[in-house]
Amino acid sequence: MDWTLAISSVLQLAAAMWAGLLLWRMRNWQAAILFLLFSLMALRRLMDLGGASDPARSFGPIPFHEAMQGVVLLISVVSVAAVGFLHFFLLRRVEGEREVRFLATALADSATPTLISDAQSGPGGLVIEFANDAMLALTGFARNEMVGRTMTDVFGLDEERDTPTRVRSAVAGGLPIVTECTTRRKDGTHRWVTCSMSPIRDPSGRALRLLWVKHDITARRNVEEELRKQQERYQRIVETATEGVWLVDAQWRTTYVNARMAEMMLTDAERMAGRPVQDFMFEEDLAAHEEQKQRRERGVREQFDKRFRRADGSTLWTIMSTNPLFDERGAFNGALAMVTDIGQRRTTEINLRSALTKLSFHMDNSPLAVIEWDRDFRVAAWSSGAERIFGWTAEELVGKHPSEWRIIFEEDATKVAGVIDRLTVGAEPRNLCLNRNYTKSGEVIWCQWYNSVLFDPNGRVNSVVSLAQDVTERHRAEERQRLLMLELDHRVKNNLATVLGIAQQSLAVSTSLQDFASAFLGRVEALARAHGLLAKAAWEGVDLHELCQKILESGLVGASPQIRVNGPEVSLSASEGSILALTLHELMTNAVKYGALSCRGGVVNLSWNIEHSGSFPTLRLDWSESGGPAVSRPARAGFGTAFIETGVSYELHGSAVMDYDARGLRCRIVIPVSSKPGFASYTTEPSGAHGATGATA
Amino acid sequence: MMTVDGPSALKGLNVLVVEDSYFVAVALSKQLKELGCRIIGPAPTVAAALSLLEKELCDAAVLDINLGSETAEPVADALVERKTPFLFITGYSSPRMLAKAYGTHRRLVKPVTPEMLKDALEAVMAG
Repeated sequence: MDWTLAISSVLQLAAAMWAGLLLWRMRNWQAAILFLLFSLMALRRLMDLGGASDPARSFGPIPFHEAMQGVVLLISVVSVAAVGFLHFFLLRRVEGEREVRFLATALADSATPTLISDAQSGPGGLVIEFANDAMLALTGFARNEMVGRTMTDVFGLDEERDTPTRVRSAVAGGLPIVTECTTRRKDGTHRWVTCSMSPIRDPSGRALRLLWVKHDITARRNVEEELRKQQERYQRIVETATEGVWLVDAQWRTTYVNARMAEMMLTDAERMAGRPVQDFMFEEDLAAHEEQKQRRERGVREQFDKRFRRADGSTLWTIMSTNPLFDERGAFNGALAMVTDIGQRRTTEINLRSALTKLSFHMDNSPLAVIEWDRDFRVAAWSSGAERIFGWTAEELVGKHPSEWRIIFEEDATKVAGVIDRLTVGAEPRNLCLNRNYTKSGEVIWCQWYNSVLFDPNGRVNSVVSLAQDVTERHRAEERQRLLMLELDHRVKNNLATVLGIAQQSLAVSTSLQDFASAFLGRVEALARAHGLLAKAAWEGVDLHELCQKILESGLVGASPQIRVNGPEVSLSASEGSILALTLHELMTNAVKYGALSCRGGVVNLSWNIEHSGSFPTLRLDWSESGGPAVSRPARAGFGTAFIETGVSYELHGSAVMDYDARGLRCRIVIPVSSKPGFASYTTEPSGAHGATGATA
Repeated sequence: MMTVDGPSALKGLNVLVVEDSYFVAVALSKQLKELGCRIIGPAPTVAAALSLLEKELCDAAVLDINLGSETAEPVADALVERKTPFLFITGYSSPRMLAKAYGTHRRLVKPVTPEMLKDALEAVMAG
């Protein structure tokens, strides 16, 4: 028995059987059978060694030379070791590969885009070993365009830039690495994916491959992107809003204010964040704020004026639009307010109100009627002045057209309509109209109207404002003035004609120029004196006493006769004054020349009274001379006689009778004193203060 | 004394004088007489003038518009009705006091000279 050989054979048998069984397990049937045959040969050899003495019959291994026996043993030991190595390392590897293939088969029909690549980077990157249909659909490549090529070739360098790091960490960490990234498609477009990468390990834990699973999240990303953009837009709107935005939480602490809000409060958003809203209010407003808080918490949304205390302590007036916010369970979650700075508006409002108050005060105090008409020419406003002038109240007239109540005097209606027309068609932006109107009591008054029209941007009448002044008094005064001017003109011309007439008639009866001159000048002077008195009394009337005094004293030259004047106070008109002045002048001149005043002891009694028997008061004036030379009727009627007997009755519509009584001349004048409106007034008084007057030189 | 020379077409004409001023009426009457006219009146009032028109034959008339408290317009109306020619004499330089119908009627403004009176009267007589 050769022990060395026997041990070698046992080892060979073991190695061949181990390898055969291993290959059997690996389902490598041919190799397994081959190795099992080897093991049978090794068994036979071992049997030969034990019993058979005829080595020639042996078909087993040729007996080695003694020297080779050691080498054979060594080879046998190595063979067993090699099979052991294969068993422990190779088999695992193979099992891993099997798992990979199994996985690939399982994933082939999966809807999840998946690929498998090498775990270790070759010179061109990770080579793709498998890609399922879903992955081909996602990327747009054909299978042969992916499998066998590197990740870098397929997806581009950009995407694979950090792959080695990720791979290393994935392999080292053991957990899948999930990233959100874009993936390039064949057509060059990109899709958003979540990419999860995990190593496929063999049973020994060694990474054999990398499994890449990509989920297409482009649609989600697009929605997200859109939302993000929208949010950005909203954010921008909120940030750039001219209105303040103020958001508070359920505890009324500031969670957000936009830039405008902070600016309105003269601070910045960071300083406001987190602070309770009452920090920005005045002490006296807190009670109202509590109430507002409660309303908000009850879900009331509303708008109101509110003031805040700014950073510098000044007041910010705002108008707030508030909205309560509730969470999904319906609990109060805070409030949102849009805040408008109305400080300027409020100031303007206060100024405007004050201006309107002033305007309305002055309007109502104005003596003018202030009337506003709307576009249809209906009364829109009717001032107190209008009520004072016309009598109607605003309540009675607002909404009425002037045709609906009696205000326009019928004769002036056409004129007024024309004025309104020219105003409302835009022919005149303002105009005047002097016309008559009715008052509420039916009285007719003269009114000066000042109208102005305001058009809106479309050219339609917006409003018409009329100021009206009651000018009835002025109008009457003007009318009176006009008549006075006419009267004056008339009188001047009449007086000139009278003077001319006196001159002509004086001339006709004069014997010499000197005779004419004294007679004519005396008469004109008498007229002048009457006019002097008239002017002194502002043309309103001449007092008969004064007239007598003026005329009678002028005639007394040198002598000191007696003239007794007696009568009540009488006011004479201009023409009555003039005619009586001339009459008295003629009587006086005659008496001085030929009558009672031509000698000592002669007396003239001038007396008058007023009788009220007929329709007009009658003035009876009596000139009576006594104590003078004997009187007889002159042979030829001179100027005086002719004037007194015809002129007085002609002009004053009365009568004058001369009585040439031998004892003394008498003249009786009876004239009606009719009232001439405006230019003379007649007063009669029973004899009293002026009763008896002694006029002496 | 102012007179108008030459043969007068106005000779024998019966002229109504309506004038409230005595002196003016006397002077006017004198001027008309010198023109050869016969004077009807003078009348100081409308009532007196109308009364004279009823009673007397009247070929022409000279009317002072302002008769103090009234105007001569009613007399003018009566004259128009009778187709009697007439002229106005007035102190007014404006015709405002007259009704519109007489606004353009021939007028003489005081003081009136004999020449003015003659020309005006001849003109109204000629029509």
